[in-house]
Amino acid sequence: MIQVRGLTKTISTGTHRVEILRGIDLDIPKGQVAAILGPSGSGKTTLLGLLAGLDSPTSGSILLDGEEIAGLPEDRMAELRGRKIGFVFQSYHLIPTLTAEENVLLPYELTGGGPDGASRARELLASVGLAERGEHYPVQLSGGEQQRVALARAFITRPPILFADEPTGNLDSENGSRILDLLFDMNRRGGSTLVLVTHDQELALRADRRITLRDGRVVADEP
Amino acid sequence: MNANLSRIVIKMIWVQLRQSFRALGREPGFTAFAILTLALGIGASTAMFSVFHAVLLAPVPFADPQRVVAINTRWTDTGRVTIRVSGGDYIDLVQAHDIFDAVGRFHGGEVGVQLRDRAEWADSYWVSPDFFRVFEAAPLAGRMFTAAEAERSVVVSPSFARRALSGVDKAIGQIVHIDTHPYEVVGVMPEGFAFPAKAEIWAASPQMPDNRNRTAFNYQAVARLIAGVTPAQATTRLETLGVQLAKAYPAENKAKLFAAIPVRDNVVRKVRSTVVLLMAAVLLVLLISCANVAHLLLARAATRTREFAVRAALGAGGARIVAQMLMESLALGLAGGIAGIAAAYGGVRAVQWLAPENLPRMGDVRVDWTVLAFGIAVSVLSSVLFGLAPASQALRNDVQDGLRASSGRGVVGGRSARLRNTLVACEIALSFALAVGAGLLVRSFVELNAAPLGFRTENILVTYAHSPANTMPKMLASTRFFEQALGEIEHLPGVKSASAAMGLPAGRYGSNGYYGIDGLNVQREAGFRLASPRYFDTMGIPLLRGRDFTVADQYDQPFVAIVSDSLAKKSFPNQDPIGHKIICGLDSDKWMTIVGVVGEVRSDGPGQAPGPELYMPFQQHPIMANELQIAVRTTSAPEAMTNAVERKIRSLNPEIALKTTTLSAMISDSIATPRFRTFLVAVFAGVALLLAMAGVYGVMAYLVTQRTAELGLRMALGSAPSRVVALVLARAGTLAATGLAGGIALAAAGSHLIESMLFGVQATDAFGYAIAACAIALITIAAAAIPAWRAARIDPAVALRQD
Repeated sequence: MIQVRGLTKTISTGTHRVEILRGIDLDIPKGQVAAILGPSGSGKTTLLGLLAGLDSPTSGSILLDGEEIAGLPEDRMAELRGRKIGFVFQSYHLIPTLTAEENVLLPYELTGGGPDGASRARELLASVGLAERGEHYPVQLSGGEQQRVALARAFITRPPILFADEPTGNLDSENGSRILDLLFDMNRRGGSTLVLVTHDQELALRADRRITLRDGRVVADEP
Repeated sequence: MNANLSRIVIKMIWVQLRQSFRALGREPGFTAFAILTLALGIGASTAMFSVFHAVLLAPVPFADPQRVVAINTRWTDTGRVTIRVSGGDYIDLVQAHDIFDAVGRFHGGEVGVQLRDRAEWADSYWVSPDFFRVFEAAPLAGRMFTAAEAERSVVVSPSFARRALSGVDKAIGQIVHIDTHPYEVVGVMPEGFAFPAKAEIWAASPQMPDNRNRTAFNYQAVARLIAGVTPAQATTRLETLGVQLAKAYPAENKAKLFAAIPVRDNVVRKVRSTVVLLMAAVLLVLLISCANVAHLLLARAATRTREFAVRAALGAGGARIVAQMLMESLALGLAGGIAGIAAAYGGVRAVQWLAPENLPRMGDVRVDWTVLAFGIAVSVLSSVLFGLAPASQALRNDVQDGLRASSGRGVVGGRSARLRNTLVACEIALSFALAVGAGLLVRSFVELNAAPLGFRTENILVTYAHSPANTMPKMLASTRFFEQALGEIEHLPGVKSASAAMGLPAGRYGSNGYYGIDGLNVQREAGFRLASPRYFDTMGIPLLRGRDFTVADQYDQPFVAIVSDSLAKKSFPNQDPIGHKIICGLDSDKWMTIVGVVGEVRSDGPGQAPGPELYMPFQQHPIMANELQIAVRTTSAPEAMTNAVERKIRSLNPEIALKTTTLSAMISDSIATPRFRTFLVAVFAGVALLLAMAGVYGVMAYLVTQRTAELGLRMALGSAPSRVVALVLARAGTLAATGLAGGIALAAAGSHLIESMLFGVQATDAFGYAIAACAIALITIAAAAIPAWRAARIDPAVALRQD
């Protein structure tokens, strides 16, 4: 369950202040798939960053499973991210010096996972169709393959909440479609809450709910 | 549970280390450069630490080494210290039973020893019966001599036993002759016992010294302190004794005190400052290496902003990221450490090869466990040192910004850039300080070589000759033998002139002490030399007034002397010294008539100022004249005459021990220590400058890469390539100027370290600083030239597309 109340984010450029989010109120129930839509500059990526604890709000409150994250110190926040949150980034963001399997395993190791990490990583890689590519480095994988590795990585810690920022933005339509199928399938099996940011209306239609932002405000919230 | 946790932690460390090594393997150029840089710093410091440890830190190989002290004499009025004591003082010192368990005395050096079939030089010392008690040393074979065996028995080293006495087992009971006097070998010392250094024969001498006056410092004293008494406490007690002796013997002991110095400190006192300087210099090189790798890692970390952001987004806390960075540094440090320690083995051999023969304890220098531990500790500490900056940088990255950053590009400016610039400026400062030090030492060494010696060194063959004699008739016979030998050598083809002396400049032997002159109740100090006729002519020492010694100046004739110009001016101001009487305590109490005045000579080598000298004809001082240095001026290369001269001497007396060198080699040996430290500091400074150059290059190359788009834009807007070059060079110049400012302060602060090692040049010599500054300017320009050239060749169209 994600609860957001009165969330604002303002940045100062030195000479003037820019209000990116102007008071967001949201409730996203457990297990829901919510798509955040909006034109460039509407604040959707900033909202995602705040919900994921990657950034801190200027004011307002964010509760993840009842736990207030606004204002948490960075180390505490990192620990919470490792425990509760999975990410899928538009640019995959794999570590270039780690193999595919090690990339998948990374969040598991960071959260002090047990001895079954390697087998789970291999299992996840197999579920995204990359069972034979575990020893490959990111540079040896195609864009679609890299994003599939990123998907496997996002699910390794069985996070209750998953954030995806334009997960198909860097992919062609065929690969994009395959990634989405995998994402929704894995999410359904994992039973996690999924919040994704997208420009893609077609993708948004596959979500349980569509939240549209404009100029830092929620202008539409439809099932 | 705890075992499980440990297993998990160890596994995590192992996984992290493995990943770090693999990541380094994927960047072979960066890794090779970083490892090479670290290997240089760690290798050089480990090699030098092996010297530092063996010479200054390792305990001497005696039982309870902290209780073994040497007794020195110190003058409170001049501050002068000598490692010797006079015989008279020694007799009083041994009475301090409340601080000493045992007191021993020794004197001697290299002397001619007659064996069954030949004579040879051996380091021989006459030691008091309690000498070995001081070290609690036991023989390897045989026994120690007793007080009743003075002048009859010797103990020898195992190497001497093997070389001269057919082996350790066969040595006991054999007879060796020193000055025709027979000594029975009663014991062989164990391999590790080498006190004094290189000693091969320890001959028994009486419990109390023969020479009991208080102005001739003929002996060295060592003592074992009573358990619980520290050297400082012993010194306090000896000072009290010194005050009492000063009251009892005001003429001789005025302002004279004694000190108990740990024997190790006494042995290494002359080289301590050199070894400390070299260690300090090499640590600067290590620091520069670390700074170099740190800014390389900083540049690398700047390109990994996104990776750190991803790790943070996936749950890595600050400690985890710092740990990862430090682990990567550790991987690099360990690789550099392994390469460095391997290099240190070669470095130790090189240092041993380069080290002067008289550098004490060099035989003990090796890469042992202590040195290995140092190398490993240095590797790990270096890792932390150069890993901290990039780790702290990674910690400061903003996660959101990092996720948005492009993968291959870092950030221009900002804290990371400032840190990198600071590190390179520090490298420049440290290398400048080293370059100043090296420059000053080189200049000093040049001055040393150019110092007027007061004699000519070229084409002089020197043969050390020991003619055995222990009675006055035999000693007089020795002087006649030397006269005859000199006459015959002078007739050898290729010989211009031949002479002999006791106390040749820069030689191993000499004497000094007080002299008196008629009509003046003043005692002054001078060097005492014996010389043959034509000695001054052979050596090229100018005779300023009066006459040279002649064959007529024999033992049964009126005693005569020649004085140096400074002695004449000091003791006979505004007078002609010729005809005045002079006396000294060398070996006779006869007054001598001054018959000549000669020029000043640097008797103790080029580094020591000339002092007053008193020359006496060797025929009139037979007690001191059976061991002379025969100086032969040749018409061509003197080494070629070695066999002819030695053959001629041996044909006249086969029992004579001979050893030949050249005067040039002796002078060269006398400045071996300055040459050694100058060479090493210059090498370290060269390495430091190269590392600093690499640092400047790294920063400039990185800057150009990061600012490619900006430089492209400037060129698109009409900036000429020369302006772009100027921009890069100006940036490098700013770095160099900042480094120089720090370097000048550092060099000035450290100047006291080398002040005492300089000759003919001040530690604050502006010329030295200017040369070092020029070196820094040159390396800066050289280092920035390639990045500047690359910047000038940027294609604006391509550069702008990269942004």
